[in-house]
Amino acid sequence: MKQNVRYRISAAACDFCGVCVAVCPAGAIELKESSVRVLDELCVGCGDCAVMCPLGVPVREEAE
Amino acid sequence: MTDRADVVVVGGGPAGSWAARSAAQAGASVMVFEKDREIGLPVRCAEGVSSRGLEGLVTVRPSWIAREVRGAKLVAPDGTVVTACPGDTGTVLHRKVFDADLAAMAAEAGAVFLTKACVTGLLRENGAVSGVRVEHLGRIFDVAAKIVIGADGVESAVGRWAGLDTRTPPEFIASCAQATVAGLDPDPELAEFHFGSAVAPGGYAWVFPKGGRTANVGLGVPEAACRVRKPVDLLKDFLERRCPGASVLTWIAGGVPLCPPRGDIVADGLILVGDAAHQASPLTGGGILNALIAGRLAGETAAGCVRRGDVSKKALGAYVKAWMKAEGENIERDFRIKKVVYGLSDEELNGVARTLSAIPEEKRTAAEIFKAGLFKHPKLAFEMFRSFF
Repeated sequence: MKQNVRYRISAAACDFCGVCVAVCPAGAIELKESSVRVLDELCVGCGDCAVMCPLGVPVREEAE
Repeated sequence: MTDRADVVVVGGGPAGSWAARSAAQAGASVMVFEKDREIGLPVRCAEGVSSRGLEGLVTVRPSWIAREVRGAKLVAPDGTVVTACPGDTGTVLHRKVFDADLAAMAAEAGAVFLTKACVTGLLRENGAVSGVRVEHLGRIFDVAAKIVIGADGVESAVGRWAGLDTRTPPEFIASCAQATVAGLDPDPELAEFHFGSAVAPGGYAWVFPKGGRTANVGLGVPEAACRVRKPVDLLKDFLERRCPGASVLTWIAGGVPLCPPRGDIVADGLILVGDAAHQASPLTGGGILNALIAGRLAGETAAGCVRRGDVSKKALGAYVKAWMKAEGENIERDFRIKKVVYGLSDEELNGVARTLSAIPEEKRTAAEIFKAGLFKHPKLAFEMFRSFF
């Protein structure tokens, strides 16, 4: 993971379509029937999920 | 439910069901795990296929057909409309019914289905894939298999778990949003394709009529467009423009792999099929027919390899070879055309439309369109020429 950068995917806003999983270079997104989460320990912080999501759901968070 | 099968299929879409059916017909014991609670839902698809193409692959049931269209209407950025009726009709499916029937046909052949069953990992034995771990209604259990067929869609995890690079990088995927709308006036009679930077930059928007003044209205765009505006927002604009006041019955998001043909879709004990193997047309994004073609080949190969007791990557390569022979060239060609068509500026698209509309409608055959393109639009024509000859 890039230092201090994380991505969050809100299950409430997500349609579970899998585009983020398809483009993730690190296999860092876990998708089930109606749940989705970013595995921080695998995430490389590239942001491809946020760019390609049809709904713009993944958001970047920067820690202090 | 037993804890072993010759073939385990992950995913109950058309690719998975058709692979399951052909493997079962060829004598293999088959289990299919679908993560969603119901086969066929949610419908993450524009639902359009070539009627002739579908008829060549399966006996079509009337209940699958929402509507048949006799041709297409292409709309250029400046509003120029070109209708084209290439002789083949299009079928807009009820995917919910279609998928459920394909699964039932596979079950009829002997495959055992389980829904709301999420495969969370692969079992390995001496490096080869030897089964799956399944999560079903809070229970976790393992199922041993001689071959696992990954038909788990564009978000495929099965291939990645087996060590294949199944990532679809942003440049090879279209990000899509679609609404099923009611109350269109008038009821659309042709499939519509809308092009241009205002509607779907670098991609296209579609209106696929489903009958009774309803239609799937959606669009897909590449990475560059996604960086500027999200597909869902582009779709809201398009709905406002194309069908103001229409009711939205369904919203859906999705992604379509638009990739060059790929051969690394097998490993020891593993086969990928459908969107998981990036088998959709990179030009249109259509994946249903290719899923059926590849599904059948995958199922036959899997059953044969189980029977002969050799499920090595090398033996499963027969599937890759058969798939490439069937569709490899088409995908290669569509990929080349895609790069040109979706790279055209609004001005160039308007020019193509004007050229085409100068051809009398009854003469708008593929050959005439090609000749016009050849004369007026060398860049496009050059690629088409290389593609077809």
